[in-house]
Amino acid sequence: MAVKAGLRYLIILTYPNGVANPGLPPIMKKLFRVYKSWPSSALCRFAMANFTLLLWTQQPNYAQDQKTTFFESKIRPVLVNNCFECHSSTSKFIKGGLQLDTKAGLAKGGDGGAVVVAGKPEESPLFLAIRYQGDTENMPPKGKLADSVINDFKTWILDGAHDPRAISSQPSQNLVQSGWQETFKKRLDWWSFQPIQKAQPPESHYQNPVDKFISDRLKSNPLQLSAEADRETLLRRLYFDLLGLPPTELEIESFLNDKSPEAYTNLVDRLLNSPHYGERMARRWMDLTHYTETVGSEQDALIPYSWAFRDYLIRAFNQDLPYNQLLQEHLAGDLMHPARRDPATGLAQSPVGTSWMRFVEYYHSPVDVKNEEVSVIDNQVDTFGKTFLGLTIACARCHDHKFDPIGTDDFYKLYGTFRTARATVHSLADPNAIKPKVLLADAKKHLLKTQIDVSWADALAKLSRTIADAFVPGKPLDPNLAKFFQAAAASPQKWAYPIAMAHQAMTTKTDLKTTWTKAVQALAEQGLASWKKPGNKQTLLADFSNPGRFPKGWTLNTTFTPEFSKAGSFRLGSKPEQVMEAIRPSGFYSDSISDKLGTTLRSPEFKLTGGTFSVLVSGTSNARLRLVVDNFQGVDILFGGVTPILNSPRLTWLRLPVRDIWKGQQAYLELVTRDEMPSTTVIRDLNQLPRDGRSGVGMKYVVHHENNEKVNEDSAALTAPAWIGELSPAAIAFQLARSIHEAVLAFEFDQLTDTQAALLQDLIDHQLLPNSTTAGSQLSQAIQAFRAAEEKIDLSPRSVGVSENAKSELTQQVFIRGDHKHLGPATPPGALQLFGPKNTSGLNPSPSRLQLAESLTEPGNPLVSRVIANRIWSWYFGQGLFSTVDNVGHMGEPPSHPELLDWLALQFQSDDWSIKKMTRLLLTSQAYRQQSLGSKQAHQVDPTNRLLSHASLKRLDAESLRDAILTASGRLDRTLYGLPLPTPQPPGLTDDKKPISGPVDGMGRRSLYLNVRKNFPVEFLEIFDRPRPTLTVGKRNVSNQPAQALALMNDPFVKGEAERLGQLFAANATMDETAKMKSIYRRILGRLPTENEIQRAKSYLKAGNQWSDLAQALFETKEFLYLD
Amino acid sequence: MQNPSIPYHHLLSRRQWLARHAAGFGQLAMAGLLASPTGGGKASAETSGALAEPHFKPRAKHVIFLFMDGGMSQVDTFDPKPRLATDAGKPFPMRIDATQFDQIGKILPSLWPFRPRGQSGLPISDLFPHLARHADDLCVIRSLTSEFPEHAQACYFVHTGSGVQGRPSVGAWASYGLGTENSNLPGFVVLNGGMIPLGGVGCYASGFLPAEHTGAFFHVGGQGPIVENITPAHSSAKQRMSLDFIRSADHEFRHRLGDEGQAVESAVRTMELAANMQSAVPEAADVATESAATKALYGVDSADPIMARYAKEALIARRLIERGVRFVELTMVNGLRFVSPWDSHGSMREEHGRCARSVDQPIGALIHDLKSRGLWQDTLLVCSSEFGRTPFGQGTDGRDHNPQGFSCWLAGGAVKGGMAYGATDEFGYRAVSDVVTMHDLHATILHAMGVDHTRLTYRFGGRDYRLTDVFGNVVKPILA
Repeated sequence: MAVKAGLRYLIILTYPNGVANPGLPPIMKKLFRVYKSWPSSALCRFAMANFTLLLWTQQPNYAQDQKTTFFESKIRPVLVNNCFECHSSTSKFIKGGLQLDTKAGLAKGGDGGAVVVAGKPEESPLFLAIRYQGDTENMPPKGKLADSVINDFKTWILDGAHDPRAISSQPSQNLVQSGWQETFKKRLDWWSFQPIQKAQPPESHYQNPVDKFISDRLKSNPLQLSAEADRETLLRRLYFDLLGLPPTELEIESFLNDKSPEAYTNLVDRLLNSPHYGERMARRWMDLTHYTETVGSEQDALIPYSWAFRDYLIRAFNQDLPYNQLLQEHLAGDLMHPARRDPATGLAQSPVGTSWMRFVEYYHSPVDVKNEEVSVIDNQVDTFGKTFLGLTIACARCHDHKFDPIGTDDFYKLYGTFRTARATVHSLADPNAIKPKVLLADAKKHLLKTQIDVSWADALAKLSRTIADAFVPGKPLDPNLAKFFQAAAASPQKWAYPIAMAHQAMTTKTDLKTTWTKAVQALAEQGLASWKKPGNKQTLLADFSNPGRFPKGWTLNTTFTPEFSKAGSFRLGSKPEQVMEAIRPSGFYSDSISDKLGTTLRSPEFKLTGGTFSVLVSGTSNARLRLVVDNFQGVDILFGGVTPILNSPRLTWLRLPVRDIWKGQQAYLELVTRDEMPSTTVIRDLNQLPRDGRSGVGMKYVVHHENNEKVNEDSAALTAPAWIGELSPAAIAFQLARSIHEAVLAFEFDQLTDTQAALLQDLIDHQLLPNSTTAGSQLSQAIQAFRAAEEKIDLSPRSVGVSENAKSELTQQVFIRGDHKHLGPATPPGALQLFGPKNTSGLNPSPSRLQLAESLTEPGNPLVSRVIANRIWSWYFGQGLFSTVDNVGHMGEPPSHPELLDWLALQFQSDDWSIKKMTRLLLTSQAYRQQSLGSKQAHQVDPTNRLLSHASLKRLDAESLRDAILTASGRLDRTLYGLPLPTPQPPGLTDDKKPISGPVDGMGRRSLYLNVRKNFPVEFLEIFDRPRPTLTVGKRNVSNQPAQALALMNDPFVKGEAERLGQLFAANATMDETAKMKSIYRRILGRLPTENEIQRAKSYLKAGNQWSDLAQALFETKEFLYLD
Repeated sequence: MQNPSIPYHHLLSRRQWLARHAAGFGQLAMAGLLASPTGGGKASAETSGALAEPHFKPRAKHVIFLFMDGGMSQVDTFDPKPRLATDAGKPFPMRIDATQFDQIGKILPSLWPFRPRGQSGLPISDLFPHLARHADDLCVIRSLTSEFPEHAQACYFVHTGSGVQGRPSVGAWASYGLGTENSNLPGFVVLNGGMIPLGGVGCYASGFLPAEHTGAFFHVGGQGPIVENITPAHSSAKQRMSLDFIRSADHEFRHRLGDEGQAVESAVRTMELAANMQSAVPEAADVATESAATKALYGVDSADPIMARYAKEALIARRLIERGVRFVELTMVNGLRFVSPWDSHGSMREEHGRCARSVDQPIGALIHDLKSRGLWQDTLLVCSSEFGRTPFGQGTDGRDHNPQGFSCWLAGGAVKGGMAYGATDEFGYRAVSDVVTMHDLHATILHAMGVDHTRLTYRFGGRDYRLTDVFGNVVKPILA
C-alpha cells in the first residue's frame, strides 16, 4: 500500500513546472513527508533522481512539453492505477515479463516482445489488450477502462508514444527469485531433511527395541508403560487393526484356550498371513491414493477397471511386496520389465501400480483442455508428494513453497516427468499362457485359406466362362457381372475401371482403343495416392503397409498382434453362414488372427497446426479412433468430431478436423479396441460392461492435410504391367479372368497384393465368388476348428494405468503463478533440489518415472522410509510418531520420538522394506499391548498420550464398523476381489446419471468392495468419515455427529442386520437364555458379559424387547464403536 | 498437544461440553421446542463455532442462498441491454472467449421486456413479476464473474470458491466459523427439491472441515424421509428404553477407560442430540401448521406442482432460519429439465419461462414474509447462478454459458436495496466496471455475517485454507 501511494505521489511530482494543478502544494507536502519517513528506500532514491533529472533537463521544446504533459496527465496515472499491480518492479510476480513502471521496461515490452508500436495503435498489443477486442488478453483484467481513456491511449500511440520518464532506470530483477537460494538453505535445516541417524536403543529390561525407546522416554517424565490389556481386549484390537474385522466366537474361543507363551505372537503371525490382512491394508492405501471408480464432474463417468488396483493392493500387501518395489510400481510399474506377475494367477501386477494416476477428477467438457492437464498433473504430483515423501509439492505450482525448501522449478521438474504418462488400459494376462493358444488359432486360420480357395474352385471355373461370354458381343451378360462392371465404371480409382469401360465401349460400339487408352490414363492418375501428387498439401504421417518399417515413434501395446499383416488377412463373418467379413490389404490389424486381443496403437506427440487428419482405419464392436489433445481423458462430448466410434471391419477413410482453439496444443492419435478405452461415458451398472472382449482395430495410413481435400491411396500401381498387350475384347476378357485366377492363387499362398485384395473383396461383394458355407462342408469344419482354437484364447483381465510416451518432451516451462497461459523459464526434469546437489547436477538427460522411482528408494533418501515407518506406526498406535502423517515439512509436527523414528526407518530398510516385519515388530511390543486405562498422572503430564504410557482409544473406521455388523450378524461374505457392488441410493436424490441402487446389505460383501463413486458416496460410510476420493488422506477425520447416531438407530442396514442376528437367537431352541446372552455379547463386543450385564439384558428382554432389539442396542453402544 | 491439523471436537473436556451445551441440550431443548405454540420459536442454545465471536458486528445472522442452477441469463433478467435489440441478428462484434458448444449465433435480444420497478426504478424484466414488486429491496450485482464456463466446475466454484471437488462449501464455512444457534438442528441445510447441481453433493461438502458442517439434506417433497435416517425405526417408548439400556452400558465402558473415555462421553451426548433431532427436524420442516394465508402467499398448494414444491422449500427455509439454522440453500425442483434447469441452450423462452414461474412467487413471498416477521434485518438473501448466458444466440432460441459477466442479487438487512452495482459492456457479455469475482461475493457474504474472510482459516495438509483462497475483496459499496 505504502509503495503504491509513493508511486502516486511520484507522478504528481514529475509534472513539469508551470502546469496548473491545484492539488499540487498539499501533495508536495505529503511527498516530503514520504521522503522523511523512507530515507533509504530505493523507491525514494528513484523518485528523487527522477525529480532532479526532470528539473534539470526540462526541454524548451513546446511540442515535447505537450506530449510530456499528455503522458503525465493521461497515460501515466492510468498505468499506475491499473497496471502496476502486475507489471512493475513492485509486483509480486511480474506478469508476462512486462514492466510498465520504467521507460526501459515499457520500451522492452513483455515476453512476447514490444507492446507499443509508436504511431500504430492497431499493431500495439497494449492497445489491443485495453480495447478488449484483440487476440491478446483483455487488460486490465478487473474491468475495461473507460472509452475516453482508451482513446487517450490511441492518441498517445498515434502521437509517437512519447515516454518522458528517465532512461536510467532499468527493469528490476524478479523480486521473488532473488533470495530464494538463501531461503532454501535455511529451510533445509529442518529435522526431516537431515540424514537418518543410526541410534542405539537405550538400555532397558525390555526385549523389544520399541519398548526400550518408549520406556526410556517415559522414565524421565516420570511415567511408565501400563499393564497389558486383557486377552479379549487384545484379541479384538489385533483383529480390527490387522484385518478390519472382529474375531468370530470360534476364534475368540480358540485364542483364549491357547495357553502357550507364544499364543500372542502366533496370533500376530496368523493374522498377518490372513488374506483379509491385505484387504485392510488395501483400504488404507486407497485413502492415500484416493481410489475411485468414477471421474466426478457432470457425468461421473466410469474409470474402467480401476478396481484392479484395489485387488492389486490386496495381493501386494498379502505377499508383503517390499515397499521400495511398491513405490517403484506406483510411479513406473509400466516401465518395469519384465512385469511382476502374481504367482497364483499369472496376471501382470507391476503396471497396475500406476492406476492411481488416473484417480483424478476429469471434467465433462472442458473448454480449456490444457487447464485440465494442469489440474490432473497437479493432483498427481500432490498425491505422489504427500503419499511417499510427506511433502506438499503441489503448493509450489504457483510460487516457491511458502514454508518448505521446494522451489517452483521443483514442481515443474515433476510436471515434465508426469506429463509423459499417458492414460492406458493394461492387459494383465500372461503372454506365455496365451501364446500357444494364439499360435494354434493362427495355424488353423491358415488352413482355412486353403479351404476357402477349394470352396471357390467351381465358382472360379464358372466365372471364367461368364467373363469370356461377357466379351462376346450379343451374348447375355450375367447380372452380377453387370453390377460389377457398373460399379467399376463409376470409379476411375478401381483396378477394373479400364475393363469396365472397355466393356461399355464394346456394347455401345465406341472405339475400344480410345476408350481403353483414356481409361488406363485416368486410372493411372486417379489411382495414385493423393499425397503423392504435387500441389496437394498433404503429408503422409504414417504408413503401416511396409513390413519391418513400423512408423517411427508409434507405440503398440498388445498381445501377439504382429506390427504388420500382409494383404489377405481376413475377418471371419459374424453370421455362421458368412465366411468372411473382409479381406484386407496390407497394414496393421489387431484382429488379423483373432479379435480377442486388445490393442492400443498410439502416435508420437505432435503440435496441432490446424487442418484435418485423414486416417484409413477399421474397427469393430465400438473400437475408437481418437485425437487426444493435451492428454485429455475426460468424457468427450466436445471431442465428438475427433473420437469416432468404429464399427466397420473394412478400412474406411475417416476425417478428424482440428478445431481452431486447439492450434498450438500438443496431441496424439490413438486407436484402441473397445475395452482399451482409458475413459468411458457413464456406466450406471457395471454389469453393462461388455464381457466377450471381442473388438478389433486396423490402420493403414495417416494423412494430414488442409480441410476438405480429397484423400485416397494407391489403387492401380502394383498391377500396371498387366495392362500391356493386344487390345481385343477377348484379350481383355482373358486379362480379367487371369487376374482373378492369380489373385485367388495368391490368396492361398500368402502372396496377395493390396490391389488383388481389393479385387477379391469386390468379387465377393458382387457374388461372383461365393462367401457362404453349408453345415458339414469341409470349409465349415475348418471354420469350426478355427473357432474352437480361438475360443481357448483367454480373455485378459485389464487394469487402468499409464504408459510412457517416450518421445514426448520432458522439459517443462514454468507456468507463472500457476497459469498455463503465462510461460516462464524451462525446467529440465530431475530430482527435487532438496535431495542434494548430487542428484540435481548428475542428472540423466531424460530421467523417466522409473529413474525417479529408483532414486527415491536409494537408502540415503531421508524421507521415504521415515514417512512409511511413521505410517505403519500410526495404523497401530492411533497416531503417528509425528501426527501429520502426510506432511514432514515445516507445517507438519516434528516427531515425538525422533531416535525411535530413525531407528525404525533404518530397521525397515535393513528388513528388506518389509511392511509385515515392521508390523510384527510393533505389534509384539509391550507398548502396543498396554491397556487403555492410564494413570491419573499420565493424563496430567501427557494428556494426548504422545509418550504412550497407555493405549489410545480408537474409533472404528467406517468400513470396519460396517464389516463388524455384517460379521456379527453372520451375513459377511468373505470372498476376495471382484467387481464393485452398487450401493443403496437415497430416495429423492435425482442427480444426473444416478447409478443403480444396490441392496441394503451390499450382498454381505466387505465395505471395500462397494462402489466408490466420486459423486455418489456411500452415505453410511461417509457419515463415519470415510473420505471423499479427491485428495490424499493419511489420517482420517474422526468426527462425532448426530448423523452417526441416527444411522445406528434408524438406518435400514443396521436394523436389518440386527434382525438377522436376532432371528438366529430367537429361533435357537438348543441354547438357554444365558448362553444366548454370552454368545450375542461375544459376537458383537468380542467378550463375555458380566453378571450384571446379563441381568440388565434379561430385564431388557422381559420389558418386551426382542433379541433383535438387544442386538441393535449393542450395535449402538460406544464399546462397539470404539476400540480400547 | 493435539494434532494441529485435525481439531478433535470430540475430545472436548467434560467441562467444555457442559459449557457448550448446558442450556440447549437433550430433554431441555426438546421441552423448549414443544412448549412454544408453533413448536418453534427462537430455539434454545447456541453452539459456538471456531470463532469465539464474530470479527465484527454481524449484519446478518442467517443466509438463504437461492441457487439458480444451470445459468440464468443476465440479459433477460436483471441487466437490460438495448443494444441487443438495435443490433439483433448481427454477428457479435467483440472478441469471443471459447464457448462450450462453439456454435456462435447472432446477437439475440432479450426475450422479455425490462421495466423500471419500484421507487428506485431498478429495471427487472417481465420474467419475474412477483420479485419485481420488491425491486426496492434488491441489490443487483451486474458484474459478477466466474472462472469456469462449464457446469460442474462452475458449480463447485460458486459453492466452494474452488473449481475442483473437495473444498468446503460456503455454508460449511459459515457453520464452522459461527456455529449454530440451535443445537437440535444442523448449521447448514440444503433443501433438496430434487435437482442437485452438476458436480453432485460435493457442492455441499464440508471438505476438510469437520463432517458435522456438511450441508444436511432436507428432501423436500421427495418420496423418502425429510432427512436420512430421521424417522425412528422404533416407537418412542421402545427407543427410550433402548437409549436407557445403551446409556448404562456406555457409562460402564466410559468408567472402565478412565480419562481415556472422554470421546465416549461426547459420543453419548451426540446420541442424545440425535434422538432429539428426530422430532426437531420434522417439526421444523412441517408446514402444515402455517396459516392458510401464509401458504397461499408462498403458493404451497399451487396447482403447478413444481412451483408448489419450491414454495415449500422457501417456506421451510424461513422456518429453519427462525429456528436458528445458519445457512440454508434452496435447490431447483425436479421436473423442470432433466438437469441444470436454467441451462437454456435452446427453447429458452419456454425453459427460462418455466424456471422463473416456479421460483418467482415463492421468492417474492419469502421476502414479504421475512419482513413481516421481523426476520429481514437478520437475514441475507443471495440469488445467483454458477454463470450467466451469452448475449449472442446459440441457434435461434438459446444462449451458451457466459462466465465473463452476469448478474446476481442480494437482499436483506445487510445490503442496500433498489440498487444495481457494476456493469457489463454494452452487449452484456463481459463485466467491465466494478467487476465482482466469486471470491468477492464470498468475502461479502462472510462479511455480512461478521466474519473477516481472511481470518477464517483451517489448517489442512500443511497449509491454512480459507473460503476465498488468497483472493476476495468485500464489495463495500453495496453494504447497508
